[in-house]
Amino acid sequence: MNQPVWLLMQKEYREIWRSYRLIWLPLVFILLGIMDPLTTYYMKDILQAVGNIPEGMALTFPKLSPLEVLSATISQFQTIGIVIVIVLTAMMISKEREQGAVALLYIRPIPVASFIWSKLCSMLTLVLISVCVGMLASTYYITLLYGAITIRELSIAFSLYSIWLLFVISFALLCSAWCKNALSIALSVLVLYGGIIVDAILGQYWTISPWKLPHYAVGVSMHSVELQDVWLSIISSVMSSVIFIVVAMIAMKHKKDTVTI
Amino acid sequence: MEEVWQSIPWKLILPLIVIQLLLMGIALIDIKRSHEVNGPKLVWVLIVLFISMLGPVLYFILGRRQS
Amino acid sequence: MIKVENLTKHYGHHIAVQNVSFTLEKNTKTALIGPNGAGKTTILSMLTQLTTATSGRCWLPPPKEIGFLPQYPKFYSWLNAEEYLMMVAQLSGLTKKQAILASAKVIEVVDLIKDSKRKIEGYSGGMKQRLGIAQALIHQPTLLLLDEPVSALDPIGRRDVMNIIHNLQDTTVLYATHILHDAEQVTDNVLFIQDGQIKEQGSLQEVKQKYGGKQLEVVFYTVQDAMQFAAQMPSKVEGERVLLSATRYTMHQLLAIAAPHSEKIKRLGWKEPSLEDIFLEVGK
Repeated sequence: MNQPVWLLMQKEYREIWRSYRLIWLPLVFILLGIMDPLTTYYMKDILQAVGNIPEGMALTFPKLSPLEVLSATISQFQTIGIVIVIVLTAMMISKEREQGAVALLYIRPIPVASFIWSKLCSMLTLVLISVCVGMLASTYYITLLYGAITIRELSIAFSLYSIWLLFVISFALLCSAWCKNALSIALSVLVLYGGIIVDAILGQYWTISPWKLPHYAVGVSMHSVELQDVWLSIISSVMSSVIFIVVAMIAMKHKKDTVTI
Repeated sequence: MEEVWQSIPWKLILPLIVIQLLLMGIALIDIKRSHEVNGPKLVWVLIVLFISMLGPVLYFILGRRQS
Repeated sequence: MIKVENLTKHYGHHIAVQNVSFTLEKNTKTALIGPNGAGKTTILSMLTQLTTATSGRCWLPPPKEIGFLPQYPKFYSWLNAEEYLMMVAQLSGLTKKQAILASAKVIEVVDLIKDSKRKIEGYSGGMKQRLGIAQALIHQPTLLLLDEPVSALDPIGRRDVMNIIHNLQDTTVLYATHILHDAEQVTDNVLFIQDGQIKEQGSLQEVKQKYGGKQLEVVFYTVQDAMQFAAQMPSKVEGERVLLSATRYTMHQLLAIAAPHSEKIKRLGWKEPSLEDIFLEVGK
């Protein structure tokens, strides 16, 4: 196994492990995963404990279904978790280039593609593990407080959300391969997170886009969405990810001489 | 007061607290072991201690130095 | 053989390197000498293909046969030296078995055995420099490019590194430096560069010959004595030193002339111009 891509991947995995990333990112997603089921369930008690609610005021909260809470958990991932993922990915190539260590690899006969693959695979592994344990923790709390979620429902949610993550990571990697570190972070947050906000405000006007996948992740099981829209969103995400990755490889080749020596 | 104390679902909340402490602990150990961090160590210690969850995350992303 | 023809690099309007041409014969050692900002690093980074030249041509060995040490080598802080060297060795085309042997060998050469299992994070500047040399040598390159290999080291480290370079047999070495004393010990050829242009090149002997050749030197105890002595013949006075051209006088003649003044003379002998002298001369 002395193919460049394996050697570079080994380096990436060692970093993930030794910088504690493989510990703290899953912990963060577990926190995000259990926060929502807990707070929505005890919202009434929390409000009563902190606020002085007038005697006669009726506090009625709609009883949420387990799937609705899972959907809320994904929204939670989408507000905080995804920013962390975007920033971490957007720094992967550009920061290495600015710091300079990669110069001593660039001078060796290594195909550019293996750099990109090693980054993509390591980040995907890290993020999928984190999201997986986050969803499992959320499901555990939902099952305790609201009711059961089937394995099928959970797998669909995880799979669709994973495709969204592939899209996010590919785009952020492209920014990182193309731009300076600061610009890469700004651009990827602007486009990816900006897209989330735009979709939240105006999303009713379209049904097919990578940004829809986090909604569809649970929506499919709730039968609230057209399957055709889901498939087309999946296809558009995967295809744009492939394009981003190919362009990232080209961009990385062209930006080789911006490396700090 | 005791009633309130007992009404809190500790079994459910405990993992939340443990994970927060774990994150904090890992960040603090890393700050202590690092030769150098971006910015003064003391500031990072305060951020990690007083901003729950996001404090350690901010340190891991911005505070850790790689070179 | 390495050949460079009319190599030029522009950064916008700034001309970093202008029409540089030279040839490095196989297995020779050449010092690229020039002040800071003269374009040494730019030339080296074009030879490693990290920087694309604006124009010009190079005939170089393939990348896996080139070793490069940047002036401030950077590493992955979370790896230890052994892991790092194993990685770069295999990335340069060695098999795993070859890489194990090669990394053990270079770790010994650069004297990092004690620290090879420690994370690079905790390395001092000198240790990083030595690791940098190790990664440049590990795949036994036929062309070795070194950018100020000793400037970050203390005198002992400098001597060790120059010894390593000196002992390299089957390698063509080009190293940029401004520490001329060290260069003088190991170099066969010199390239003087200033403002992006080559001002002088040739073998060490040729260049020394051209800039003064050999001289005879008489050192007196006092400046007055030196001046009095110099007044008798065509010569140059520098403080207590009197310099005479070796083409005009033989040592035998000098001894005869100097004999009557022997108690005023501190020292007498041959003097070659040092690279430092030539460097100053070229820079004018």
